[in-house]
Amino acid sequence: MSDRVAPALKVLRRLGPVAVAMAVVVAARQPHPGEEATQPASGAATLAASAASPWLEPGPVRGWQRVASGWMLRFQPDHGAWLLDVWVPEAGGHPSWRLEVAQWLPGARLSSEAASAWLGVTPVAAREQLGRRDWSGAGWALVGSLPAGGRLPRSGGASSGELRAVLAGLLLAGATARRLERRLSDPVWLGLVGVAAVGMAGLAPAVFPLGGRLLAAEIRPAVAGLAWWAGVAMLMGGILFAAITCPTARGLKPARLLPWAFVLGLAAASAAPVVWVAELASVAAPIPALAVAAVLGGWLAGLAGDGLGALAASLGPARVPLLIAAAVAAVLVGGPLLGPSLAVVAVAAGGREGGAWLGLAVVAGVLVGSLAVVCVWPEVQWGAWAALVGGLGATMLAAWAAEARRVQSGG
Amino acid sequence: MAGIAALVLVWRVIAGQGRQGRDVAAARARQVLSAVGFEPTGGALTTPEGEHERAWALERARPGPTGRRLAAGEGGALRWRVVFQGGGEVGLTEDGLLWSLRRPLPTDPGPSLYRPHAGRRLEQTLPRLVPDPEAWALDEVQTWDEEGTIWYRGRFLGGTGSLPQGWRREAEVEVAGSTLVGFLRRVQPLGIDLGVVQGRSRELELLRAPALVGLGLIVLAMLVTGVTSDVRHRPVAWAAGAAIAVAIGAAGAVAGEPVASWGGQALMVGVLMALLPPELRGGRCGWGWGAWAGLGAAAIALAGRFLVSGMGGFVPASPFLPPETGAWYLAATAWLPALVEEPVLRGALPALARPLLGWWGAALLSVPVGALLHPLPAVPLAATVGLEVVVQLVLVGVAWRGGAIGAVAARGVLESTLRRPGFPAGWPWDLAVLAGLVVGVVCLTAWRRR
Repeated sequence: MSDRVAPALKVLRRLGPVAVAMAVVVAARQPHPGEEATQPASGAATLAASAASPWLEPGPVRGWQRVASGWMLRFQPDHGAWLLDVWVPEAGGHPSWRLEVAQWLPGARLSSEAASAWLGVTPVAAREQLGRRDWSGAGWALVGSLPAGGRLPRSGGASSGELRAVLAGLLLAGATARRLERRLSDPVWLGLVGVAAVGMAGLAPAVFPLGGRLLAAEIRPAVAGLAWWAGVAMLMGGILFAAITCPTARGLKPARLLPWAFVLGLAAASAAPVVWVAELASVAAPIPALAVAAVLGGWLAGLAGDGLGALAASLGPARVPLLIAAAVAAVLVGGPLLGPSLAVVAVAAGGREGGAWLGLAVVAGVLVGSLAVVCVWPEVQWGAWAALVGGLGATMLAAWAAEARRVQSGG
Repeated sequence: MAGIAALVLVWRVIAGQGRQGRDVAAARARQVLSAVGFEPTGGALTTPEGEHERAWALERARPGPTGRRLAAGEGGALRWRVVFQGGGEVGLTEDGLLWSLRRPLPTDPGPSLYRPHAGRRLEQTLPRLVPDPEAWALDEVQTWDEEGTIWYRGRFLGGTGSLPQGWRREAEVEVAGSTLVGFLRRVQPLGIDLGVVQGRSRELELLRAPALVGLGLIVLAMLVTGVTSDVRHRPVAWAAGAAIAVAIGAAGAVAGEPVASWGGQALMVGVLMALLPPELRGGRCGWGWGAWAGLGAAAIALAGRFLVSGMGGFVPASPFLPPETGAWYLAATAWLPALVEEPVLRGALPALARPLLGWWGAALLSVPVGALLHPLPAVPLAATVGLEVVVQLVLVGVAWRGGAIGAVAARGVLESTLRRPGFPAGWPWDLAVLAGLVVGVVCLTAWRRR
C-alpha cells in the first residue's frame, strides 16, 4: 500500500463508527409535530390571501414567522398605513387575522350599541383616535366601523434569557482571551467570515421577511426594510471587525472529531430543532442564506467556545468536569439553544486550534438536522438529506485531509 | 477681544429666539377674565404648552410663514397657560388668541337660564370668546344639575376658519347659573396632514434602532480593548474619564433621566475616555475649536432646512417642544447627547478602527451611525438624514482638529443653539446657551495665550 492510502484507511476505520452513529441518530429521531412546517411561507400566503380582510387591500406579504404550529404572515401595502397579520395553522383550520391601522386614519365613531351589534360581542373598551373610535372586546376589535379581526396566537417565549446572557458573556470572554493570548491566525477563517459577513449584508433585503417584526402600521415597509438592512450591516461590520482583531487560531488538531461534531449537531437538532430554519428556508435565496448562517454561527460558536475554554483553563484539573457539567446543563436547560450551547462546549473541549472548525461542524449539523425535522415539504426534505450526506462527507474529507497532512509532516 | 466679540455675536444670534408672548400673556389673561366678569387676584404663573406634531402638520399643510403663523395662532399648537394664585386660569396661543378659560364658580352664579333658551344664551356669550363668532354654529347643548345649580355646556363647530382644508375647529362653552365659567377650543386636524408627521416620526424612531446597535457594538469592542489595555499596563487617563463621567452624571440628573440610565452612561463614557489614546482624546484647544465649529454646524443645519424647504421638501421650522422648560433643563438636554455620543463616535470608533482603516476611514464610519440618531421628520425622509450626514461630517472635521473633546464642545453648542427655540424667550435660557459657549471661548483664549 502506498504511503497515502494506508493512513487514509486508518482514518476511515476510525470514522466508520461515525456513519453508524449518524444512522442511529437519523433512525431514532423524535418527531416534532408541533414544530413541523408542511409548506413554505409562500404556500401559506396563498391560503392567507383568501382569508384576509375583504375591506382593505392587504398588499404583498412582507414578513413571516413560525408561531404556534403555523405561519404568521404579515401583509402591508407600500404606503404602510395598515398592516394585516394572518395566522395559517398547519392543522388546516381556517386562518385567523388581525388588522392594525394607523391611528390617524379616519373612520366612524360608533356607539357602544352599534359596536356590539357589529362585533357580535359586547365591547368592553373604546379608544378614541384622531378621526374615529376603536372598540375591542373578547379579543375582537373594530377600527372605526371596520372589523379588525380577532386575537392571534403569540410565539412562545420558550428560550431562556439567562442562557442567552451567558452565551453573550462567553463571546466577550472569548474576544478578550483571543486578544490577550494571541495565536497564529487562520487566514481561511478570516476569508470565510469576510465572505459570509459581506454576503449577509448583501442578502439582507432577500431575508427581510425574517425581520418582519419591524413592520408596523404607519411605518412604510421600505423604511422598515432599510432599518433591517442597516441593522444587519452594522452587525456584520461588527463581526468582521471582531474577526480581524480577534482572529481564529490556525490549526485543526482534533480533526478526527469533525464528523462526530456534525453528528452531535444532528442529534441536538433531533432533540430540539431550530424552528427558524423554516423561516430561512422560505426566503428567496435559501441556500446562500443557510450557508452564511452556518459560517457565522460556527465562527461565533468558536469565539464563545474560546471564552469558555479560557475560563475552564483557569480551573486547572477541574476543566474537564466543568465542560461535562456545561454539556449536561445545555442538554437539560438549553431548549431551543441546545444546538448552539453544545457547539460552544464542543469548541471549548477542542481547544483554540481547531475548535472553531468543530463549532462550524456542530452548527452545520444543527441546521441540516433542523431542516430535516422542521421543513417537511418535499423540496427541502430532499435538500436536507443531500446536505446531511454532503455534510458528513465533507467533515470526513476534512478530517482525512488534516490527518494525512499531520502524518506527512510527522506531527 | 476676539472672545468677547464671539460671545456678542452668539448672543445676537440667539437673542429674541424662543417662544414668544410670555411677557404679555399674564396681562392678556387678566383682561380676558375681566371681560367675563372675574377679577383675578395674586400673582400669575405662566407655563408653555403645545404639541409640536400639530405645529409640524400645519407647516406641512401650509408651507412657509403661513403654517408657522397658524401653529402660533388658530392652530393652537403653541400656547401659554396662565394660572392665577387667587383662582382662574387662561390658555392663550402665542399670538394671543384665547384658547381656554376657567374661572372659579362664584357663590351666587345668578339665576339659571330658561332651558329652552339656553342655546341662544350660550350663543350670545361667544362674541366675548372668539374673534369670528359668525363662523361658529351651535351643535348641541347639555344641561345638568349640580348641587342646586344648573350647568349648561354648549358645543360649537367653527368650520375650517383659516386652517387648511379638512381641518375643523370646535369649542365648548360652560355656563353655571347665568355665569360663564369655562371655555375650551379644540382643533381636529386632517388625518393625512398629521399622519405624515406621525408616520415620519415613527419611521425615524425605527431607523434609530440600528444606530443604537452600532453604538452598542462600539462600546462592547471598547470594553474588550479596555480590559486588554489594563492587563498590559497601558496608561489610563482616570482624571479625564472621571471628569466626563461627573459631567454626564450632572447633566443626566438635571435632565431628570433615571439614575440607572445616566449612571450607566457616565460609567461607560468615563471608561471610554480614560482608555482613549491621548491624541484622540483632544485637549483644551479642542474645546475652543469645538465651540466655534459648533456654531458653524448650527448655521449649516439651519441653512440646510431652508434649502430643503426651498426645493419643495418639508423640514419642520417650528421647534421641538420639550417636556420641561427650565433653563438648566435646556443646558442639560443639550449637553447630554454631546457628552455621551461624541466620545463614542469620534473617540472610541476611530481608536478601534484606526489600525485597519486609518483615522479618516474610521471616523467616517461614525457618520451613518450618528446621522440616524436624532433626525427630524421630513419629506422626503432622505432629506433630513442627509442634513444629519452633513452635520456629522462637520463634527468629524472638528474631531480631526480638536479630538473627541472638541467634538463634544461643538455638539454641545450645536444642540444648545438648535434646541433654544423650543424654550421660552428670556435671559435665563439665553444664559444657558451662552454658558456652553463661555467654556469654549475662554479655553480658546487660554490656548492662544499659551
